[in-house]
Amino acid sequence: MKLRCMLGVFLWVALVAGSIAVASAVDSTPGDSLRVRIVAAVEGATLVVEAGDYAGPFLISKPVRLLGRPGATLSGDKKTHVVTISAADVEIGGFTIRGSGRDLSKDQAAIHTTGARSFIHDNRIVDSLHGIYVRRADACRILNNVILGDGAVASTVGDPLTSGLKPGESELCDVDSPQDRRGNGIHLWNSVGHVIAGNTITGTRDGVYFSFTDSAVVRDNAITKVRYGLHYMYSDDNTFERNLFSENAAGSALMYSKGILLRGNRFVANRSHRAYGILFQSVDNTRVEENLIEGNTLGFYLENSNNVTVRGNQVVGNYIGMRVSDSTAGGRFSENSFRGNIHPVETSGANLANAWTVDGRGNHWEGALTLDLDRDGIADLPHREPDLFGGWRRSFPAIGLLSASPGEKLLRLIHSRIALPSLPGVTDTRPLITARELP
Amino acid sequence: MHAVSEIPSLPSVRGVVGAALRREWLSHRLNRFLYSHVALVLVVGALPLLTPGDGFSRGAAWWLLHGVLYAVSLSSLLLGLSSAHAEAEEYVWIMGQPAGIGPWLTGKAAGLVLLTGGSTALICAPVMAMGGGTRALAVVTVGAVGISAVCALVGFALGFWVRDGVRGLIAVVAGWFVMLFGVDLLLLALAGAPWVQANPDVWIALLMANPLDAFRITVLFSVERAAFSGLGAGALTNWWSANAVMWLGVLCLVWVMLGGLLAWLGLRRRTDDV
Repeated sequence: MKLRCMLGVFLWVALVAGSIAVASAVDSTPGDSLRVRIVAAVEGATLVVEAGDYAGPFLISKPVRLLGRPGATLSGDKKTHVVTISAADVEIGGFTIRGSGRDLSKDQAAIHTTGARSFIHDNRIVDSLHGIYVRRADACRILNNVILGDGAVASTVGDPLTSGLKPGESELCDVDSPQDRRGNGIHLWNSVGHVIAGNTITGTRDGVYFSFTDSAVVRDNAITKVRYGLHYMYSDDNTFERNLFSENAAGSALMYSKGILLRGNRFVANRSHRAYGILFQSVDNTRVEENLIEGNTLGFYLENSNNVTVRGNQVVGNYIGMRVSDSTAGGRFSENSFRGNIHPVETSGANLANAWTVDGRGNHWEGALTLDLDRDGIADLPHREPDLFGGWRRSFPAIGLLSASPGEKLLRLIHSRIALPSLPGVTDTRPLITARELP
Repeated sequence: MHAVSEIPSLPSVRGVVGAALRREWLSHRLNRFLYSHVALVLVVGALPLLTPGDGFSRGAAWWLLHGVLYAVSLSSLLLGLSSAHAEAEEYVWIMGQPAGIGPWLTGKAAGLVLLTGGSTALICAPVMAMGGGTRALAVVTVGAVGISAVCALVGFALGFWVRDGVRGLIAVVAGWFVMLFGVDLLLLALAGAPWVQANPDVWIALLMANPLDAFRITVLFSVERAAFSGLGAGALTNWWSANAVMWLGVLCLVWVMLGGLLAWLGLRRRTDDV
């Protein structure tokens, strides 16, 4: 009897255990399996993930390489980050990543890393708040990712000069409009030494966001149809080369920084009535070279920025080519070409604190009356570029309706030959006869 | 009874208008001004072809804007003046006709508008011949036709007010300078006045009333879609920016009617002088 009773208990336990085991096997998802593999992997291991939909979220807390085959998708639970990287030297690439949480106060992202030297490449990120969020993690490489936001915002952009760019630890996410409840493509905070190259970002809130991030190289990225293509503050010694910033609602704004190099970029068609190709406010000791600034409402605006070298840029077809405030000093403008702008240069005074001729070479001004008897490529007479509207643009914006009017052109022509008194503008003592081509 | 039946009946208004219109056509066929105008229009229309590469289509509006402002407008004014002075020696006879001057003037003005506007429509021909037809080109062409008709009627009216050939020429050129430069310079001078800055709509309304400025604004901000940083300039500016094409059409129509009215008043004044 006792034996039969023990046998019964044994059978019951075996039955229950078997049932649980079977049930567990049935409920195990590809996402669970992947999580198990990540947990079980040794440091430095390479995990290749086959095509399929893997339900997240995922935490990578040791240095591993996570590589997706074509068709491998990591899907978030729409409550937190899809992939969280908390260890140094993690590589993740080749995935489609979707479905992060949408809580702006928690900075939720498709990939959120606090691990130094993260290598994030060849991913396609959709349906997420932020695309890639780097927080206090140095020397990350973010290469060849495609980040697609929900759409561009055009009607909710404030003028960054009046509304300002807002820094902070969970910065820039405290916004009022539900249309702005969208994260950034690549968000960098409090870190150094990144390489960001070959990424395509469109339809996010801001394209690349820099705050307290130094010594990064940003190269060959295409950022279109976002709010700020480049949203940048308190970040020094960064290099931007050959990037495209196009059709963004507010263009690119850089503030309170120094030691930046902008070379060979294209700032194109940022055309809302508050858009800037490039905006500098309190940006010092910076070089802006060989960029194309075309078709923007305001091509390049410098406010309270000192010792900025602006050389060899093409400023083409903007409503206002360049605005240089009198609070800007030590600027060196040379070998730039101003063509097809309705107003080439806007100033708020005589702009005497900046040089428009450097090492004997000025700038090329389309339509200027030029005389070059010695044929050295430099005009023999100075060129005066007046700003007839001046400060009235702020106090009386309707003055802009006289843009490119015959009356305005007549005064401009007269001023170019005979300096009219008290007219704001710049004087180029050695204007170039021909435009310098971009390399 | 028989004598009564021999009294010739008065010509109908429609008949006088038609006859004046046909005579205007005949007169312009013999007048070298029209051919000069057509040649000028074609040269202006060919300007976009100077754009290197295949960009002539995209740059057409910009070229045509300047061609119309600086050349076609003056040519149309002169054509109108020439038309007004063409029958100067017949005024006394014309005034004595039983149908009155109204139908004759209507037919003549209609003929002038049709000829000037029709020939200005050729401005799009060179670009279209090169395969560059676009909606923007169509809008600019229609605008150019309207501006041309307005300028012709203004010159026409001035011609009836200033009968002497040389003085008429001076008056037309002066009028062209006022429309082209004077209004802009006046508005620029007024822009700094505190009262104007407090009431920008008055300033904008003056700008809107000038057909050359309306054409420029239409091409720049509606056709070319130049990014404009002054959109915060008030409701009237925003409305104008959004409805520039419609406004240009209405304005041209009003100016054509105004030109006709001024011509009629000028001709009547002449009658009184005689």
